[in-house]
Amino acid sequence: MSHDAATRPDTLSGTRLLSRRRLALLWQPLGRRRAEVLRALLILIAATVLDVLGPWLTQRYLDDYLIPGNLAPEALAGLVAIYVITQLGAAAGRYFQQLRFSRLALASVRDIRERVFTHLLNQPLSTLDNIAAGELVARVTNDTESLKELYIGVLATLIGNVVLLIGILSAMALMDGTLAMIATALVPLSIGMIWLYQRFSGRAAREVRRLRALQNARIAEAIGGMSVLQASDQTERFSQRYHHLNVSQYQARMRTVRVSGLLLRSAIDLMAMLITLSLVAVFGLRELGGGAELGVLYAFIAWLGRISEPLIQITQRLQVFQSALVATGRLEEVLDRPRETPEPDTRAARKATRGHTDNAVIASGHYQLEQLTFRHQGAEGPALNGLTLAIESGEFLGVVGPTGSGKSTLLDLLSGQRPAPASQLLLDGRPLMEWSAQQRATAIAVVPQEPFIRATTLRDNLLLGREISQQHLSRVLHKAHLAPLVDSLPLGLDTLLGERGLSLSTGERQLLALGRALVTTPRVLLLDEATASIDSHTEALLQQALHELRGEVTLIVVAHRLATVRDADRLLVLEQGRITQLGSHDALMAEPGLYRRLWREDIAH
Amino acid sequence: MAGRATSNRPQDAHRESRDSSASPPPAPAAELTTGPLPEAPLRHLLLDFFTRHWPRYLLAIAFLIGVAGLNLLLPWAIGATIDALRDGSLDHEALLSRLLWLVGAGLALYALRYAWRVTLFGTAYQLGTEQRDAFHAKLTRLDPGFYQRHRTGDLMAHASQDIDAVEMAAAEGVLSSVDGAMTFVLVLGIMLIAIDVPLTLLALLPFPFMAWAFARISRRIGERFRESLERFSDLNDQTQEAFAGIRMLRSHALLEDEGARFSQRAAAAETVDYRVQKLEAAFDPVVFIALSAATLLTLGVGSWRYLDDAITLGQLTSFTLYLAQLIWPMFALGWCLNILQRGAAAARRLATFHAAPQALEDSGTLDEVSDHSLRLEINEFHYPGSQQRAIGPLSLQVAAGGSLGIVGATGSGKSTLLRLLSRSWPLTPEQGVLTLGGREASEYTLSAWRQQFSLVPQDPFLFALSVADNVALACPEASDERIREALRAAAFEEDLRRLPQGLETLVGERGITLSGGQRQRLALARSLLSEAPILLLDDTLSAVDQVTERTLLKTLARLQQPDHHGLKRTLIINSHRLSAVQACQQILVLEDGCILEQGDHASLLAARGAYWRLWQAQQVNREDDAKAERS
Repeated sequence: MSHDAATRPDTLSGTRLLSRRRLALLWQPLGRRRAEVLRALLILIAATVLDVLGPWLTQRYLDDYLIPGNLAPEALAGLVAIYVITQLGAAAGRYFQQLRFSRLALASVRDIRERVFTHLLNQPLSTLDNIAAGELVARVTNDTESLKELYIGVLATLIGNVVLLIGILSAMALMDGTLAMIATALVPLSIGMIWLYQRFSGRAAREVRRLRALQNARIAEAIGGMSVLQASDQTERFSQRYHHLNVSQYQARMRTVRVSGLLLRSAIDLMAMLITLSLVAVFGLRELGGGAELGVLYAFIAWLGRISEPLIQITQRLQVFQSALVATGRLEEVLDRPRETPEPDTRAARKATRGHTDNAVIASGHYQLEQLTFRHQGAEGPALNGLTLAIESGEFLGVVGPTGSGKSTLLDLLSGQRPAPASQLLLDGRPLMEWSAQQRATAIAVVPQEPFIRATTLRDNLLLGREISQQHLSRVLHKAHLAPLVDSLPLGLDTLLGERGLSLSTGERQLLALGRALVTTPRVLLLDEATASIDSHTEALLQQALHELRGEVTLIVVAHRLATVRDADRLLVLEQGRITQLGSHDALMAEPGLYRRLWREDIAH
Repeated sequence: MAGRATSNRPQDAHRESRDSSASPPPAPAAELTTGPLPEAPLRHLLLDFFTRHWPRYLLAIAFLIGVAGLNLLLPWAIGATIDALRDGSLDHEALLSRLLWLVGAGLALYALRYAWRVTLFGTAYQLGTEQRDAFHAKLTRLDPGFYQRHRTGDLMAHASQDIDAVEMAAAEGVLSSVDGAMTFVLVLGIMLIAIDVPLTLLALLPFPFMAWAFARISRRIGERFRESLERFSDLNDQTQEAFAGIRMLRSHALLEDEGARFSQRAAAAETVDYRVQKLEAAFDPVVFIALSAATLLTLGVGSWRYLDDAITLGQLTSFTLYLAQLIWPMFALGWCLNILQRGAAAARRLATFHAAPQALEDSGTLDEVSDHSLRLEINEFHYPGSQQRAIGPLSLQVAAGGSLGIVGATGSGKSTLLRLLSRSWPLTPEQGVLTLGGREASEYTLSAWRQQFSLVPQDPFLFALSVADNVALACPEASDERIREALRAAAFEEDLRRLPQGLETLVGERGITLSGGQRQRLALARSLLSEAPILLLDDTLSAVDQVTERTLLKTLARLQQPDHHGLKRTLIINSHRLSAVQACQQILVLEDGCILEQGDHASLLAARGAYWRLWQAQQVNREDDAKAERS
């Protein structure tokens, strides 16, 4: 996915916006709460019945009591009491149904959010690597946020208004068929208007959204790259560029305002007025013909005032619904991506291997590679091709080779970040991927090139939610050579790191990652040497730490500077996914090959 | 501050903050973000805008008055028609012509409604456009420290949601206050004058309660809404962190923990969202009960007045219709408060943003540089908000066309030195002096100064543009040939061949991802193309292999030769690797922000000090093995 989905024009046509699958996705969280949906619906219907009784009671009063001059106090008191009770009941019912529907809507959004988040989190690395982080975040938060509008809109507004509309139209029909027919005309007329509006506003609205996404992207870029723009004195040019974008977006928005000004509220108001006038006309003709009831006109006018408002509200929500449905489409795409091959800790697989994996621990750091072959998704050739090798427990193995030779892929396979075929990679005598994620995490420690730092304290970054004793913690700090760093910080372990805190150098981050790894007692330590600069001091600390761990764990180091792994027990030279040399430094220096060439280049320089 | 602020426009406040940042010692980081603010940022912002665009607002308001007037016509006409029918003064023809007139009025109403919408919203959207432009312009004046202290997400929210909220205040806020007030006055007037005073006074009793309830609910929604935005931003942050750290989560088997953490935040967001919904739901029963009560009072009092012959049945009908028209003003009051509150909160955040001190002062007038000899004397420099001395005392001079290498451990002040030279950070007179060609840095315009320098940062940023546009960032008119040449000199040629669309390949967020080393070389090409006389390299040669390093060092050596203009470039290179600075005429070894040693490569080796030890450490393996290999 090379470009942001948000800026892509919505290719989804109006009919495909509401596919059955999409509805199923949206219905699923509600389906789980069917009883609550039903209860809210019942309250809504009861409230609506009480609601439409109001104008009916006023009609009775006008036509049966006031105009004929029949004003007996008891009867009137009864009428007033009924009016007060029904109206209070209607008000309470309307309020509570709305609360219930809102609660349902928000719970549904949370369900979908969690579903999308865990689904994305469990995607294979090959998938995640190909999607920009910003886009992943947008799926989980922004797209689900627009679902919030959809759920609240549909559940709390649309359903309520539709039921009210039906209630009013039924009451009208019961009171006076002819007048009801006239009033009902408002519904098809409004639907026609909405249809026209959708037709004319669709493109403009999409353009507004597209430009909006572009505006956001440009601002994000300005924030990220401002120092470059400033240093190269290009701020003026980029401000101009942004200004032009703003102007285009302004024009697109004005197009939508014109369309909505012509077709939405003003048009529906106009039609409501025409219908009111038609009612007056019919009333007038009846009156001239002798025998029209004023109360009926009065009730109709009161009801009509209530109809146009729901219609307008529905119309105004449509835009929101449309973009929410487009967002739903994107979520659908996400949920369609298969999760990573089920791990042993999923239920089915656990059942299959129960007995030996559940309580077992990885006791030795012995790797067995049997014709290990791996091809990246979509790649032409394999990244690793038929690697056969035994890595002894406690061995120090250095991995060298040119860029693209498969070093990082090998590390990803050994650590289980990418799944290797079961028979081709064994750890402690069992296929690596059959150990559970938890078992692997305890036994295999990884120090990546660019360790990730959470925006929290140094302590939390080290422990990652695990609990250990104070002694153990100081042992870890000591072993990872983090103690001097911690001591130099005014707040020590409680120093905030990350985006708004202290930024650590690459070397310090690697030390931190090493510390993280040492919180448990790993059997294997995989280190990807930083290609970027580490200052000599930190680099020396890291080397020292590794040296001290030697023999305790299986140490596999991918090196970019040959000096780092010179002392390794064995060196593995990878070229184009194959092992071309294997042996100690001295042995490899004695034979012709890449290793010796690399050293010479290093020295000649 | 209150008294002063009322007379100040936001712009004045900005100017003030900029001036004040130059003299007193910098405040702690937390206070830095809140400079002097106008007391009511939204009012200032809107008033300023109204003053500049009053004709259009006036026009929109004129249209609104037309709408309100015509709106009064219909209920009155219906009431009059009923009465005329009842006393028999209306025949078929008169009835129909009367109704046709009303249809005409309806059409006029429609046209006016369209007109005010386009006028009012058009103007408000223009405010948004202005605000967006101003936002971007302010971004261009802020220093790296600002960007360090603020999360990208928060700044993005200012540029989108906050400006939207201000826009909304200028559009719907104005609409609801003007239209609401006008409708209220007109309807009330016609009820009192044309219908009946006792009826009006008694029937409208519930309305003040409605207005009070609206205002109360609106205020509380404003508070809850802010919480809701905060929870949403938490959720965003956590999601971002989860995906950025996905490998860590996987290698520590934390996926499930992360899921649980997410559920917690999602539930927290749900809770505050529900509170907002709960308050919004309260509007409905308030209107409903008030209107029902008013209807009851209308019918009760209306019957009494009708039986007293004070009003007709037609007037009673008109009155009921007017009653419904009064809901909007009551609602508008709350709605308006709500929008204005959101707008005010947003405007306050925007004002805070705009008031952020601009550490980069641009008050110089010199825009010509005659001589490129640099001199920097630092007494003591620390970053604003930090108590820790970043660099100094220190003094250095670089002749035009000379070369300076700077080595030292992380935190020794190497990068700070380059930032000071390129004026990414200002140096106050107490902190030190920076001169170019004998003139102080502050005498030059910022733009002129920047044109003299080209900095290749440690972690270069690429824009969502093509490779060519990224390289030609500082000189957009450069020909493809010159771009290719710069890329060749930056050892990017091989990489360029592998890119799918060559120079036109999109990079950055929407394009292909380049490695750290590739980005550095691209940034180097950018600098090589720029022809800035002084080149600053911040550890640019560290992420490249030895072969590439050699190519790049050759390129740098070439820069030290006079080019076709006879110009020699000044080179200032930061590095961890001594091989990168070995050839420099002058090398500084920094420790803790001070110069530990100084000299050229040979003299530093001869001194057998820190540089020598570093050289040994970096060379020892190589030499050992060279021996081993030879024997």
